[in-house]
Amino acid sequence: MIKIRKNLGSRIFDTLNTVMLVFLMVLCVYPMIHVLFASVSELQKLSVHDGLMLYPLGFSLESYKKVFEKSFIFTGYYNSILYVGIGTALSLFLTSLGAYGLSRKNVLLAKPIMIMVVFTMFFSGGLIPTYLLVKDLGMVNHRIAVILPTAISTWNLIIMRTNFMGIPESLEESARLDGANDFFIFAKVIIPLSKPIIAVMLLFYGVGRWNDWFQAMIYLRDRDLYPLQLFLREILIQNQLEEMRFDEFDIDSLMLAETIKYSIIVIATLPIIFMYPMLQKHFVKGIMIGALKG
Amino acid sequence: MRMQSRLIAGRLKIKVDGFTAKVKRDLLRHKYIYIMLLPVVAYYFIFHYGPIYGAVIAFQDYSPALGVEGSTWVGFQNFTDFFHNYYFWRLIKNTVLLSFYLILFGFPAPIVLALMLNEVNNTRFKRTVQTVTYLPHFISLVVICGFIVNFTSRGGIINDIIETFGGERYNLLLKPELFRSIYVVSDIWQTVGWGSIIYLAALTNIDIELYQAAMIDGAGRWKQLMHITLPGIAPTVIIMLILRMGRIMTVGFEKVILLYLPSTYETADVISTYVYRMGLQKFSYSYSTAIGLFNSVINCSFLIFANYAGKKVNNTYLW
Amino acid sequence: MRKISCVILLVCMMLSISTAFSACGNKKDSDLGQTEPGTQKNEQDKDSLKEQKKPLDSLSFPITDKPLKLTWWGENGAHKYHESLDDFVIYKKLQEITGIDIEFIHPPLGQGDEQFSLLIASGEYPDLIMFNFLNKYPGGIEKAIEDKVIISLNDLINNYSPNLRDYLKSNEELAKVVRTNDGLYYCYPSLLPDPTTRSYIGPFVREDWLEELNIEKPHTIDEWYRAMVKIKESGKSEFPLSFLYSLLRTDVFAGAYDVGLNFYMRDGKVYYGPLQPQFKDFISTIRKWYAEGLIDPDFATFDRKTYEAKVLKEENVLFVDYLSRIAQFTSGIKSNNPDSACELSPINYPVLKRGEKAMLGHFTPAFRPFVSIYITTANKYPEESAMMLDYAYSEEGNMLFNFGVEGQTYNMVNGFPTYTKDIADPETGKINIAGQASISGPFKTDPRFFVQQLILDQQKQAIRLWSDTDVLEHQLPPISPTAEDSKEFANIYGEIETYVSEMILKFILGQESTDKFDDFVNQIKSMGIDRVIEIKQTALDSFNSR
Repeated sequence: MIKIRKNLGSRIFDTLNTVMLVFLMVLCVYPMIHVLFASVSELQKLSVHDGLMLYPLGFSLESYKKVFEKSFIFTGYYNSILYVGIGTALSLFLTSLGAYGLSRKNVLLAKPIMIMVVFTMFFSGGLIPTYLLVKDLGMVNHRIAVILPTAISTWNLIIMRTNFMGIPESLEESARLDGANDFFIFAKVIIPLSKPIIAVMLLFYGVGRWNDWFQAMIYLRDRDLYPLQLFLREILIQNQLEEMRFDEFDIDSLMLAETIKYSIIVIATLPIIFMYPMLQKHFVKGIMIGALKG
Repeated sequence: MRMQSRLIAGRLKIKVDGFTAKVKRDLLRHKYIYIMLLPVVAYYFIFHYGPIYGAVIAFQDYSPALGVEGSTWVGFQNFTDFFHNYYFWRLIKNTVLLSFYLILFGFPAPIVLALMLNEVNNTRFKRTVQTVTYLPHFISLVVICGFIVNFTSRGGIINDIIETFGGERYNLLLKPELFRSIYVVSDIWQTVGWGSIIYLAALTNIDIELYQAAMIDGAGRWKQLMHITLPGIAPTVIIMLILRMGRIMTVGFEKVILLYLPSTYETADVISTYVYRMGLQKFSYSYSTAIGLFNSVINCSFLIFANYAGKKVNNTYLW
Repeated sequence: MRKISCVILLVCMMLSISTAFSACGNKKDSDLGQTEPGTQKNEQDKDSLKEQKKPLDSLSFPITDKPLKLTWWGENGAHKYHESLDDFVIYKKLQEITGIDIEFIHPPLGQGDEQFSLLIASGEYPDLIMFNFLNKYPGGIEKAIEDKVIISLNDLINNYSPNLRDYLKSNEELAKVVRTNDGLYYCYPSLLPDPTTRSYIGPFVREDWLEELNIEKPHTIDEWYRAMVKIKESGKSEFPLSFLYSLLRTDVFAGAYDVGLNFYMRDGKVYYGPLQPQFKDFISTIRKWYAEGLIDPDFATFDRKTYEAKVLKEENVLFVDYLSRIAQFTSGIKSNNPDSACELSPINYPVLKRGEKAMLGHFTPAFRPFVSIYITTANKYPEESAMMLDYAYSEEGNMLFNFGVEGQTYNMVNGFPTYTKDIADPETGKINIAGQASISGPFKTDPRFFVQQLILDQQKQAIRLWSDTDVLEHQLPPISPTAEDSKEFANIYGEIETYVSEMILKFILGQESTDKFDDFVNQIKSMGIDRVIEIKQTALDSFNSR
């Protein structure tokens, strides 16, 4: 957007706006910085540290070395990439099909189906009946159990549907006049016009799947199938657990886990963080398309 | 899977035929749409409606070994147990209030951020802010709560600031009256960037011509915001609000459990943490399912209300 | 109208389909989980009784020549060393000796409860389960046997587990603890028989600073107070006393007032601490200490990391913590500040008058139900399992489970099993790998294992000082109310527990006036504490008459 002239009020606003955003940025970058710095700090210095961390306490890559000695990091990575890749593709496919169908006007059963879909956001059978169902389908301890039962997020379906509804009908009409059926309109008209929302869905599903440990925890028995997040979680809650057990006669130094904890967070988080800048381009492209048309 | 869903569709067709010719005609007319909807409907049937009978254990004294069929029926016993709980009203109040503050302050926050970003002209700065603000979303709650405990402790940074302004140091998490503020502020901190993504996407959908036309008409930035930007993202905002209202009784237990103490139960203990302490730790499946069902009913009524209001105010609705 | 009928139609269909799903699902369940293995097992029982009329006197190994595989489900408490118990030398050796192959299935760390409920609901049980059936199975252990989840072990132990059988016969006190009121045995127990090694949380102090300030080691509550005031005045430490709030549960200060924070017994009668008049004195003391800044003001919100950072920076003088911390803090403080003269030394559980003994203190029960092994109805080889599990209670098995393999993890030095240097290194914590005590499992923990965990003389002293309380007479044994009673107990006590824990902390922090103490007691009474005590009393009485 090109602003031709800027009055004083506008300039004051811009300055304030920038200052506040920078402030917010500082607040939001802190946790990641803390984790990053703690992961490269020297164990001993970290153990007596308490409070803000504004610079690494010494420098040591010992904890990363220890992490990479653990074979589960590689197993976890492999599985996570598999779940994210296949899972996100499947989710996106099903969600956009559903969103398209449910966003069309004059489809008689669309409304009851929509109600049926929304209903599931509030009523669920709970953990055990769901588990029994998945078990009866023979999926327990197979990779598909992590992917299929959560293939569609109702929340995302609704967002995508809302977005499809906002696309001007005129485009669809003209295609229909040319004799196009719904498959064609979906693939050639709606999808190309929905790049920003598809980017968002990719991000939501991708990140959701990457961070998910619960499905894997419920359905997988074989540690070779665990995603990275489940291994990470085991390490994160280890300390808490020891405190809770309380009965245990423990001898181990907790500090050992402390730096490892941070380096695993870094290793498990970095790849997915880069997903955003990659997809962000498409938001901007959305703007560009609009601008070109203008 | 496929077979099953085809079966369902088949049955669907037959029954509907008998019912009304209009449905039949519609199925034919929109056959491609129905074909596309088929896998989606099948998914919901199998993975959501399949297990839903499980919720009946709320009316049972459920024992996992006996299963749903074998367990004793107790009617509304589990519900009345909950209603007669000494803490029933306190739990309701805490849940609703915490949720209310989360909606009041937490819901607009990402919208405001998105709008602020929208006013930034420097693309590189804009992108950096976006990327950075969504970082806290990726840090596990366990770690984030560690930070919160640290910041609010007696020697923590917040107390440093309080002392600078002449206040007295005090561990903030020990004060029941501060719990909700700490929860809401930290929630905004962790989710504002991530939450703004959906609004940023909505903003990109606004036709740029509208802005150009407005500028030619001499509309200032404020006017553009009020008359173009806000109406442009209104449908998304309203849908998000409706969905949010439908979760009013749903406050995640993990964060509360990591932050509360017996001395702050009076404001911090919510339904989900209570269920966690009762149900999960003591394995009373039926009781916790009953409470879940109760929550769902309340949530649903809020959802229906919000949907109705959305329809009236902006003609935006879920169904 | 038509639209509405459409909706109704759809909902009807949904329901019919979902019930259809559920129906076939469940049928399958009961087939696999209950009837089939159950009947099979019974037949096998009869068969084997014919074959084996006389109970075994001793075991011979290997148990079987045929390839035999058992599944063992349970949390891996030693997760940080190896991801599977299969990788520990002990379990490798056990499989080698008995000839039975064990497949370990571990739920993800910290998710044992969820996984257990799924396991039970699915009806497909593993052969052996290591989980707290006693306290966590809804309805209790008798219900678990009645529901055909696990089997009662009386015959198996009697006929196929000579070592455990003989051990329990000669230890009636322990045997009483590991069976039900009706005399049913239900698990291969994890035991800590030696009472001198079971108090490992207690108070200790920076002795070097006390000497410097010319303060005597405090014994009584008054001496604690005077010592802390003096330390605070000296400026040596802003907050002399530091501990994690959860450790207050060890009754470390309450014991001095002849009261506990929870249930305890005296002369066969059950009491609930917060109801007693002395409880007010105990609470007032802690409250006063907190108000005067003698306790670290963050003590209630500490996590271990923050708390330990302060300890290592030498900010505190008195502590309540685990035995192992005495050594860890000493070396941690010294490596952080090489000039530190740090000397941590244990002190008695405080009392009111010198010469008294604290009524309660930390004391771990001899029986750990959560790391004991339960045999399920799905197990097709109960006799072989019984023999395999019995090995741990034999002389050689005891050596294996506590010390590992001779020559590899330990050597006999003057008749004393001494860990090899590598294993005994406290830094790597490898001692657990051999010793199993931190992992724990279905065996007896040997006191000679425990002694070798003590690095400093102060720790040996601590064991002596901390076990010098009257806790044995006052701690409730692991009693189990009837299924009905335990449900009622959970309902009433759930509310009371919330209320009490809330009020205790509020009293301590000064958020609630101590004048309200009478109201507090009345409130607990009105919530039904009498019935709760009655349930506990009934359970205790039936325990005593076992």
